[in-house]
Amino acid sequence: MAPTIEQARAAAQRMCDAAGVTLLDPAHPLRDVIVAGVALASRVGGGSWDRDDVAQRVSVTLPGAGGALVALRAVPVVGPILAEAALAAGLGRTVISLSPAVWSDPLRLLETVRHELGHAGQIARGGLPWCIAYILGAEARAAGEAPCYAAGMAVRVRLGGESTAAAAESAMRSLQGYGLDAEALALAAGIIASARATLDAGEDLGGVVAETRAALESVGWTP
Amino acid sequence: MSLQEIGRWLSSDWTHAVAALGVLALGYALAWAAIRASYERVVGRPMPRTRLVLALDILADLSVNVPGALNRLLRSTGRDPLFLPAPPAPRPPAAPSGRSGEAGRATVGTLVLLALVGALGLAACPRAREAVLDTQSPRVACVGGSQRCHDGAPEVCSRAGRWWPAMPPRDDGSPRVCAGACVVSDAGIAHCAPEVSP
Repeated sequence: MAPTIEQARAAAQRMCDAAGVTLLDPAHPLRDVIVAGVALASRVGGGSWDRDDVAQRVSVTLPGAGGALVALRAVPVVGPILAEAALAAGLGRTVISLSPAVWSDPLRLLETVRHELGHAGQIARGGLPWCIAYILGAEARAAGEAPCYAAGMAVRVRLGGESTAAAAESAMRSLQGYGLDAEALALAAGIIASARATLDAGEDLGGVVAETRAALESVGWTP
Repeated sequence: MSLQEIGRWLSSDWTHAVAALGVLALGYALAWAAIRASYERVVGRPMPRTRLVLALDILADLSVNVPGALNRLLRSTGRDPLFLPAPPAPRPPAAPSGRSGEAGRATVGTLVLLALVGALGLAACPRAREAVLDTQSPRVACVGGSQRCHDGAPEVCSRAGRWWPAMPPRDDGSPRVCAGACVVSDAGIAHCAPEVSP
């Protein structure tokens, strides 16, 4: 049985809580600030997303502002107040901001949260240098995005019943939007081919599907 | 590029205008800092604190550092500043270059400038960019496009010669591994597969 939107939202929240990540829904006030920042970064970096695109379709993971909040706290008078406000908003840890496009579709919501949690893991592993490498290098963007799209593929195939060929094709289409050169696209294609072979062999992608199923079952979903 | 073309580019998207404003503001702050530093070097004392100099200082602060500008405004109008004043210390006989008497704020400005210059340098210099990428996965002698199983998980080699994991990491950053086995197919694709019993 397909999960309901309520079950998908509750499962998404559980997965983010377990990962120590703040999940912002599309109506969260900070979403506007994030959208403006992503649109600006995309334009300045030569990307093709305009503000409306970002507002409607782009979900994003941002590193936590823990270190910056420590520095902010040192500013007299307003610093501690602003730092507390940021902490209360969950900005001390990694933040996932979801787009309206995925918020009302159970499968896309789960697919997207699994994708973004992959980025949260990359940030946990690589820290600030990973974020810099992601911004500066097409190779790091390919190496960062392709495994996360692979996680989304696993959800679409195992929970949504999509074919591996269609899921892989969709992932490669999405990867075209990250400013990857031919070499980076070849790397991404290799990673997607590996994920497709794993799914074709009937295997999980290192536990991505099992963790998603477990989160759904914990909120009352029955397969 | 003509002025009309620049105008069209600026008005075509709000982000262009914001980016251009940021670059102009930074340019102004740098130019004003250079004028002040040059004046102090030539004359041997700080610029007189006239209203015009104060206004230009605040404008320069606003260009790169809004809290610093607010601090200066509060202090100049006799109110409690945001930041505590620097403790009195014996000054060296010769005035240092830069804005005298504003050590804390100048440091913030310097850090901002250094960060910007560093980011631009990294973006522009392929060798620096590769060095940043090497911090995540060092280059080795692998063949671009080849795949392997490493510690029970598939990896793909980039054209630059770095191995990258084909599966996303766990939430805590630790690597995922295949539940069964990792195998490399005849087509050279590394992937997870059911464990084969011996």
